[in-house]
Amino acid sequence: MRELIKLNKNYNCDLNSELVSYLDPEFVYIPIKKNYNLLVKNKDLVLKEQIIMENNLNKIISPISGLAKEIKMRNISGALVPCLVIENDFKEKAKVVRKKTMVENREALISKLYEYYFKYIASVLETRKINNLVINGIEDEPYIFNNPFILNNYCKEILEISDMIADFFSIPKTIVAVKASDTLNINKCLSSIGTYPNIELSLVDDKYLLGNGYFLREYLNLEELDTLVLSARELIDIYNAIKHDHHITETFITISGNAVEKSQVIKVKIGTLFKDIIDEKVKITSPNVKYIINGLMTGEECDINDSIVATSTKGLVIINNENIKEEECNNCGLCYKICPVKVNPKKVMDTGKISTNCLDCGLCTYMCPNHINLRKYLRGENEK
Amino acid sequence: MKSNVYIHKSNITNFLLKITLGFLVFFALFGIYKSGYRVYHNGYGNIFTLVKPLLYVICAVLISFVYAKITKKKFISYNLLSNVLISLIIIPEFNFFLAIFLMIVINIISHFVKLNPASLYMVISILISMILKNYSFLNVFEQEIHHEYVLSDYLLGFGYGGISNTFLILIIISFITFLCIREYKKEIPLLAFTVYYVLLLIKLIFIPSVSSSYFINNNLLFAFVFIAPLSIYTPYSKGGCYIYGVLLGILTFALSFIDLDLGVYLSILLLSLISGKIDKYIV
Repeated sequence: MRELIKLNKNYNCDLNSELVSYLDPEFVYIPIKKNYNLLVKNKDLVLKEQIIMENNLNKIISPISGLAKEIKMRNISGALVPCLVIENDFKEKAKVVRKKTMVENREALISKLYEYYFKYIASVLETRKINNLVINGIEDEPYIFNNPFILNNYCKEILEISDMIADFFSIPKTIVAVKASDTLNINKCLSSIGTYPNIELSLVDDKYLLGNGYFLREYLNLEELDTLVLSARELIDIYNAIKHDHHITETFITISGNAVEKSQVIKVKIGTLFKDIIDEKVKITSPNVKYIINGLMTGEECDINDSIVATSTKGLVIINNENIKEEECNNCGLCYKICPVKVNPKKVMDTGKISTNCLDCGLCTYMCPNHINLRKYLRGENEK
Repeated sequence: MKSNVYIHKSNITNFLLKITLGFLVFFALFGIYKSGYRVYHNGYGNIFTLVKPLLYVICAVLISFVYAKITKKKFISYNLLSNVLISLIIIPEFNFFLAIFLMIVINIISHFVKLNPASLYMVISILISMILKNYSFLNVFEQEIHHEYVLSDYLLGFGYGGISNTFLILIIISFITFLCIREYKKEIPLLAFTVYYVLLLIKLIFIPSVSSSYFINNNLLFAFVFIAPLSIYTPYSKGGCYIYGVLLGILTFALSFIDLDLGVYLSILLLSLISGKIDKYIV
């Protein structure tokens, strides 16, 4: 069994229990991926959910209706990428009004999953005999609350869609995994779970990395091949696709930190500029702050003026700008001892040879008593 | 974008280093009482004898301060810790000026060569004392009265050992505290103690008249708890620490046939030279 640890939280964050939405940004920025054909030109009218880029395998749709404009460079997960700018006309005009189709069997469900780009999940369900479906209501990153928040706010919908998947694919056991310290969700699940005899609640230790599907499955002693772990966020997207024929045009992000008046989970359009969200919905309490995209353990410092919300974005933690001084390595070996996949960060730091096994979980840097940024070396970002 | 981790296990950088220095302050205070006040009070020394243990610590801190200024490194560092350790383990009747000169030389050597400065210091000073034929780990006052000591005196820190490192109960308390700190390489002292005492028991079968100083030896206990596990001079991998601990126990036992105090410090010195290679072999 791997040794996982509970993270120290240096400050408390009050989370706004109500869902906040920011779905009408003036502009959205859609990253133009490599090998994708751009299907719209400057000043073209774009409709909501219209395909604006495609390649042989995938299609990218517009989250809003409006006018296609110029291409600008924007920051996504540390990389500057060209993005198509769409100016919102605030009409949310869709290309076609779909007739809602009922999903009544496994084939229909698989086909819907493919149609709405849940290809990995569809292929797992199609090709493997799944015996355990795990609903992941845990968020690893400190001060990021997406999965627990979604589970709490959409518990009924998540249980319904999970039960449907379990029913269609004859999955005997469905587990809702929540942290043992998450009393809100425990109460919520206990009050809703009664109508689903095949769904059980499992309380998980408050330890870092148990929000990761791989480690969660291992913690629950489930076999890799017959287990499918789906996060609350994935399940609510599947629910919207199956029940309401909605493409993923919106996502949930957490804005929190010790420089924010109140932490909140915000529903936003994919492609929204962080600066717009902060200007509209967030009150920052300190003038000298750092913006950390995707959390304090695995995130990156970013400039909110050019960073946008992508499908993989979990949130933004805004913290007071404190200078953490690094000191020389004292050979304590904690980085190596704590690594869950036994990468040797000290060796990587000394030799510069990057390990492909690294999960980029940040535990080595978290543990380092000298606050050495080992993550930088493991990601090959050292300036040597 | 810059990637880092913006949350840390401890807000205090180098927690173990700071807590060790904290314990050493109490050792220094006891040293002032044992090797300063008691000797002076009983008429075995002058005012200089009274302040000598304190002067050693002050000089160690000053040398570290100058070293930090010259090398532009942090003052609260392993260099400071090593120098303070040296100031506590000095042979009680060693020449003061020679001791300070040696401390400066050791600082220069350890800047260029990665070896345990405290053990290097002790090996050199023991050899010098042997040559000068004034080698004793008892101060002048205790040389007269040590035969009256009972076990409780040893536990309270009187008797055989360096100028300020003999407070046995404090060594035990420090060790128990260190065991609770993750950074502390507890495998090293635990294995070294185990191996050393097992070998000593085996020796006892063949030679029943082993001196009690082999069992309770302040230098040995202090060195195993404070000097041997010093992070920078030991392997960082767990396996490396196991090997280091076992080798330390064996070497100390083997070299104790020459001299136990020299043996323990020489073992630490030799192992600090090969600690990097142990890691390379293990990892």
